[in-house]
Amino acid sequence: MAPTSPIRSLRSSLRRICVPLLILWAFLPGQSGVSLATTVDPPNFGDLVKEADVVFDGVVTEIQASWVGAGAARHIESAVTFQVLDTLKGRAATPYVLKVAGGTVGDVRMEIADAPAFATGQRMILFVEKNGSQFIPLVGVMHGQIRVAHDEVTQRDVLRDHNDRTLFGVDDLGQTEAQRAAMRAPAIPMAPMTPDSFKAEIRNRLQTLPGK
Amino acid sequence: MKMSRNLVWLAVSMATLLMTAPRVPAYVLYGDKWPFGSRVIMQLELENFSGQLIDGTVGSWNVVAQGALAEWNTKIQQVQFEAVMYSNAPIAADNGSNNVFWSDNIYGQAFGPRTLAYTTFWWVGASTRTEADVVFNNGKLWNSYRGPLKDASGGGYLYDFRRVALHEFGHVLGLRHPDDFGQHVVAQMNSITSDLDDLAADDIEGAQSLYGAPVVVVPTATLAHPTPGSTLSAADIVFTWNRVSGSVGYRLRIGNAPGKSDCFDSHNLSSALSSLKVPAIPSDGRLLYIRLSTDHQGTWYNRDYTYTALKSYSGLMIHPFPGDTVASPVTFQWRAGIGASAYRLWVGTAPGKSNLYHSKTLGHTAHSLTVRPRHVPKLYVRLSTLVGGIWYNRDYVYKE
Repeated sequence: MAPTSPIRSLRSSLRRICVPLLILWAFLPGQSGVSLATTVDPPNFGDLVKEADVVFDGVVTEIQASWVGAGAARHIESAVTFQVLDTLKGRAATPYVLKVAGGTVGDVRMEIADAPAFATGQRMILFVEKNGSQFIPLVGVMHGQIRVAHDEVTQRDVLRDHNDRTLFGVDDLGQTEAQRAAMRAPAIPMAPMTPDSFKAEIRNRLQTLPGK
Repeated sequence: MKMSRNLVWLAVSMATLLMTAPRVPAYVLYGDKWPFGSRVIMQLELENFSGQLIDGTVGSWNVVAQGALAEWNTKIQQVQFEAVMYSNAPIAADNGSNNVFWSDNIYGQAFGPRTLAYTTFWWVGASTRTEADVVFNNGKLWNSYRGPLKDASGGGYLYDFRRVALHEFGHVLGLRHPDDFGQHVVAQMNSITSDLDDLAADDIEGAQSLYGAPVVVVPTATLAHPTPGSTLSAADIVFTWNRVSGSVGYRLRIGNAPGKSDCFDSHNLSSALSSLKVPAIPSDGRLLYIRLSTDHQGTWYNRDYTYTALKSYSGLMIHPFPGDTVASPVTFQWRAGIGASAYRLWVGTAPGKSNLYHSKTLGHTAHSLTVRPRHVPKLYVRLSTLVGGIWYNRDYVYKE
C-alpha cells in the first residue's frame, strides 16, 4: 500500500473534522430551517434562469425617479437605465430601462425594505421579470440582482449577491450561509466565480430549458 | 498522525470558542427613527376569516397583527405602536397613514410570484419618516403558528403570518436585515426566516438602540377605599388596598405634608394584610397626605394620595373603634367637635335607644360606663354634641 501524502492526509483530516462541525452549526437554533426569505421565497439558480424574462449583464448609466400612477396607486418609481454588455436571455438592447419602485423626488423619498439598490457606474447581472408591471421587476426581488465587484486581492472581477456574499458556485444562490458552508466543506479551497464563468453557467442552463 | 491530532484540537478549540464567545450585536439600522414619544399608528385593515388558525386565533388576521405589534411594544420604550383594529383608513402611498393590508397588487403593480409581503417607507427631507405601509400578498397560503415552518398540503410552504408580521414591523421601526450586511446572527430581522418564531435578542437590542428599553414597572399596592381624593366620612377609617404579588410588606402613613407621618404611621405591615383600621384621624377639614408603600425585597415603592379630612362640629368616636366588640366596663373616647360645649352618650339595643345606658350631660371627651351583658347581636351608641344650643347626633354600632 502506498503511503498517504501529507496534503491528502491534511484534506482528509479537515474533511473529517469540518464537515461534522459545519453540519452541527447548520442545525444550531435559529440557523436551521427552511431557506425562506421573509418577504420573498428565495429562488435557486435554476429558478432564476427559468423564471426570468430577460437576463443581461449591464452597467447602470442613469437613474431617474418620478411620480407614477394615480389615486391609491400613486407612488415613486425609478427608471434605471443600463448599458447592456451582454444579453443572455430575452431581448435587452442598450439603453435598457428597468422600472423599479422607490426613489427620491424633491424632498420626498420612498424606499422598499429588501429591495435591491442601484448606483450609476455599477455593473450587475440581472434576472428581470415583468419589467414595467411588477413592483420590483426582478426574480425574487433582491435575489435577482448579482453585482459585479472588483476583488483587490486577486485583481479579478467577482460576483456578490444581495447579502454581499461572494459567489463560489451557482449552487450558492438561494442558500443560507450555513447551507453554503456545509455544501462547500469537502472542496477546499474554491475560487470565486467570475462574471464569465457565471454567464457560461447561465447559457448552459438555458440549453436545458424546455423549448431549447 | 501528529498533524491530525493538532487539527482535532484546533477544531475543538474553535467549536468551544464559537459556543462560549459573547454574542456581538449585529443589528443594522436605516439610520432614522420615529420621533421620540410618538405613537406609530398602524391601520390594521386585514380581513376577517371564519374558523381558527393553528395558534388558536379566531376571527381576524388583525388579531395576529395586533399581537405582533404588541410584542414589539413590550421591548421598546420611547415609541409605541398603536393598532387601529378593523380600520377603514384610505389605502394609498404617501398619505401619512400606515396601512397594513392584504392585496394581490402593490400600488397597482404585481407583487411578483415569490413575494410574500412588502414594507414601503416614506420620508420627507433627510430623516423625517412619515409613513410605512405593510402589504401582505393574499395570493399565498397563510396561517399563524409557532414552531418550525410548516409545509403546505398542496406543496410549498404554509407561511406563518405572525413571524412575517414581526419582521415587517421591525422594518417599520427602522431595522434592516443584518445578514444583508455580512452579519451572521440569529435574528427575526434576517432576510431569511427560519424556525425562529419570535423576536431574538439581536432584534430586541436593535430596536432598543433606537427607542430605549422599557422601564421596569414594579407593581405597587393601590388604595381602594376610601376613594382617593374624597372627603373622609369619619375620624376612624378602615383603609383597604389592592395587594400585589411579590411584595413582602406594606406601610401606611398619614401626615400634613407629602410623605409625612405626623398623623399616623402603621410601620411595617404584613404582606398578607389588605386593610387597616386607622383611628383618630383629624376631623377639622384639613388636607391629609396619605402614603401607601409597598416593600419589594427590601426596596420601598410609594404611592401618594390626598384626602380631605371630615370637618365635624359634632364629636367623633375614636375608641372603641366603631364596629369592634366591646366588653363592660368600657371607656368611650371621642374627638371634640368644633365649638362643642357638652356631650351626651346613650347605649341601646336599637338605633337612638338609650335602654341600656343614658349619661348625664358631659363636659369631657371620654366616659367610662358599665353595661350589663344582654347578649344582643349589636349595641347602638349615640354620641350627641351640643353646639350653639343645638344637639347633633352621631350613631355607632358595636358588637357585644
